[in-house]
This record gives sequence, structure tokens and C-alpha cells, in this order.
Amino acid sequence: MKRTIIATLLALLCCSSAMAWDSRGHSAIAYIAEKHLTKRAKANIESYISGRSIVYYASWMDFNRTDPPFDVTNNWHVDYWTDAERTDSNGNPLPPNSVSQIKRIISEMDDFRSLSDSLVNINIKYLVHLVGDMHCPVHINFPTSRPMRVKIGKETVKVHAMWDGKVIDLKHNNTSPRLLANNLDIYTPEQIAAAQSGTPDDWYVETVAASKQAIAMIPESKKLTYDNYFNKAIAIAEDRITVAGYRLAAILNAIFDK
Amino acid sequence: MRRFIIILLAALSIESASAWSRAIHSAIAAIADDNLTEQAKSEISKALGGHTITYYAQWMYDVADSEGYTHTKNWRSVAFNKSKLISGKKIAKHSEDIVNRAQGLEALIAAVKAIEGGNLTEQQLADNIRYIVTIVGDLHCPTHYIFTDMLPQRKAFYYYNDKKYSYVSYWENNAVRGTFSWRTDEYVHQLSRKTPEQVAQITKGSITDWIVGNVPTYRGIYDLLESGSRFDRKTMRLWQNNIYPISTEQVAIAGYRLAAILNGLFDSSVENVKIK
Repeated sequence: MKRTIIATLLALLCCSSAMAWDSRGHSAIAYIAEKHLTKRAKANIESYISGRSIVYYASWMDFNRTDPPFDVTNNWHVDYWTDAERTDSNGNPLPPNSVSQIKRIISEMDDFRSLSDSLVNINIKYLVHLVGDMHCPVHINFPTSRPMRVKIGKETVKVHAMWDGKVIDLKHNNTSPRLLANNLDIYTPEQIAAAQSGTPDDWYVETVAASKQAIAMIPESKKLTYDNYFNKAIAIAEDRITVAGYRLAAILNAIFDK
Repeated sequence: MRRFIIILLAALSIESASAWSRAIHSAIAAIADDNLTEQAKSEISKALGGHTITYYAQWMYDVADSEGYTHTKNWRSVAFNKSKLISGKKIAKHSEDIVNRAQGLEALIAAVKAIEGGNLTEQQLADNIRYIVTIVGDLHCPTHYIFTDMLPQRKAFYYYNDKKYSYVSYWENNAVRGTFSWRTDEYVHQLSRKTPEQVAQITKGSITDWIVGNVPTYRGIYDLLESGSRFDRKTMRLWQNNIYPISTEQVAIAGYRLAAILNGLFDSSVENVKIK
């Protein structure tokens, strides 16, 4: 039995997309957001993306991150953290990251009707993805966590790759993104309002805390099991996906419900 | 363990023998179901013993080895001499059996005419509906268009992480699902969202017009791969970015056209789609 569980875990990890939340997580976030868009915001958004659902573009940034026209976005998916400044050891600013890009796009989209259709289109694709990324714990790269590896059975895997998709897949591998969204979208209106309050900077600080927790939970032995790690980790991942969905809706409603 | 491997291999071989994968056939039928009129849906449900068309999305494949249905194996594709439609039954014996077996359009037309003509037994009516459901899906799968001048291109292949794969198989199994591993309800949510004007454009013309109209796009897919290309995860992703917008659109188009045929046949207030 133990061998079967370990084999299952490894099989899942071997298929890791190593791309933030995998497409299941990103799609679930977009589905949750879509359910909480106002009618006007939804109509305005879809008029810029050929009538498609925002879910269709949930992983678009991952699909195109190494395509030359978009390779500049390759560094937008993660945030870097030192406890002092977001600079490298020489004091140089670190590459653009999800929070700064989200803030830039929100500002740029304030009067979205004055922008070209293509710019609005691509900014929607960016927001749909980056709000998800900025809620993924391992997308805060701490100097100590970046190279960290853990053991699952006899295999050694990167913490980043493990959190990107497979923590959530361990429980939800047979659940469609839409059903996952329905299962997670259970907050009360008051809880949703609380989740949506604050600013992207506040949400970033919250993700930093979740990231620290995700790392701190790793036992000294680095050997992970459901009992010593994954049960707690799955709960954290589910929470991050859920609030990311609500916050994406809040951002899009603020931009497009006018 | 050995039994498990045999079952797994059997399942994989069944999947790869299909036009679109089972998931895509279901998606096409579900999109069509989402666009049936109430009357058509009700009439079809009665004819199918209470089931939806999605339930029978790939039925024609399921029965292909059963007595009385083996001839349906020739109903999955359509043949062209360059861009000119040639009938699978009328063409002279071609050296390639795949061309001779391309009788999908004839079978589709026969099924539509049979239902239009009426006087069918319950079994015949149900079978003809189920033929239409599967064949319309197949005839919107680009690799089910057999172009006699492009037969070598059908043998195109690529390597992914040094393992060799067939391009035709890629289209049939992964052209959509290599990017989106949606469940059936998600295909409907994502793809059944055309405006009435877009639907009118997609369903404009006759069944034959649709099939001939698909040709430029379907010939074009062979320009998307240089046979022998080698991909790793990164380059595979970029290559697939050229494929999925085409493949997902074909799934949507097939769904709307299937609905148009069935609405015409089963809703007296809707005009029949013409054959030619």
C-alpha cells in the first residue's frame, strides 16, 4: 500500500508542468473569478477576447512565455523576496514580477476604452494568469527556498516543482477545473468581501506568509508524506486558489464594470 | 499486473484507432446538444431511448466490429484529389486503401436522407442518428481528409524527447488535449459560445459545401510540421500554440453543424440543411 501511494505521488510529480499553478489550478482560479464577475464586466471583457471565456486564456502566459515576442514576460511569473528590498545582492532591482506587473496593468487599464483592442486583450490575458501566479506560495522565491529539494519516497524533487501543480493534483487529479472551482467557491459573501479587501501589495504580503509556512512545514528530514506535509499543504493550496479567484474577479470588475 | 498492462494497452490502442479521441467526439456532441432546439432534443431523446446524443458520441466506433456494422469502418473519412471532392465509392481502385475507404460523406448523406425519408424502424432511426453524430465529428478532423496528392505528408512524424510520434496520431489524440484537458462540460462552456451571426456563418450552405470549405484549413495543417522535427518540452509548447486555435475551432464548428443537421431533421420549424 505504502509503495503504491509513493508510486502514485512520483507519477504525478514526474508529469509536473513546472509552471506556477498547472493548468488545472489556473483554470479553477479563472472559473471562480468568472462566476463572480458582474454581468457588465463579463460582457466588456468577452468583447475584447473574441467572445471567449477568461478560462480559455488562464494558462496563455505559460504557453507563450518562451515565444520571442513574449519572452520579456518570462520573469513576470515569480516574485523575489529578501526581507529588506526586492533587489539582488548588488542592490540592483530584480526583474519585473507578478505584483508589479499586476499594479502596472491595473493602472494602465483604468481607462481601458482609450487603449487599443489588442492591448486590452493582452492585458486581460496577463491579469488572468498573474493574479493566479502571485497567490502560488512557491512563486515567492526566497533565497533559501529556491534551490530547496525534498524527498518523496526515494526520489528527490524541487519544492517549486512540487508546489506548482502537484500539491493540488494529489487530491484533485480526477477533478475537472470547473468542478474544482465549484468545490472551492464556498465562501460566504462576507468572507468573499474580506478576501477581496486590500491591495495587491497586501495580497503579496499574505502570499509571502503562506510561502514561509509552506517552507517551514517541511520536516528536517525533508521526507514528505501526507501525514507530515501534504494534508496541510493541500489545504493551503486550495485556499490560495480560492482567494486568487475572488481577487481576480475584484480586479476585473473594478476595471470593466463601467 | 500483466492483466493491468494488457488492459491499459488495449485502451490506448482503441483510443488511437479513433478519429478524434473519445473526449473530443463527446465534446462535439455535447456542443451540438447545447444548440438543439427543444423540439429536436425531445424527438431525438425519444428515438435514442431517453439518451442524449452525447451518450452515443462515438457509438459508431464502439460497434464497428459488431456483426452488421463492420462496413461503418469505411465511413470515417473523405477523399479529395487535390481540393476536388471525390467519392469513396466512385473512385477507381486506388493503390492506397485509405482512399478507397474514405466514404464518410456518402454515409452521412445516406443517413440524413434515410431520416428525411421516414418509414424507418426504431432501430434504423436510432442507428442513423448515431451515424450522423459520429460522422460529423470525424469529418471535422483534418486528418480524416484524405488528399491523394498529399499521402506522403500523412506519414509525417516528429520526435518528442527523442521518442518518435506520428503527426496524424497527434492530431487525432492531442491537437486539442495536448493543450486543454477539459472535461465534456468544460468543452461546452468554452466552445459553445458563438454569437447567432457566427453560427449562421458556420452553418451557411450545404453539407457538401461545409466539407469542401474545410479543405484549405485541413490541407494547411501539413505546413505546420516539418517531418522529423525534434521537440523538447519548451519547443513542443511553442509548436502546439499553432495547433490548438485551429483544433478547438474545428470542435466548435462540428458541434454547431451537427446541431444544424439534427435541428433540421427533428424540428419541423427549422429548415433542413441541404445535401449539396
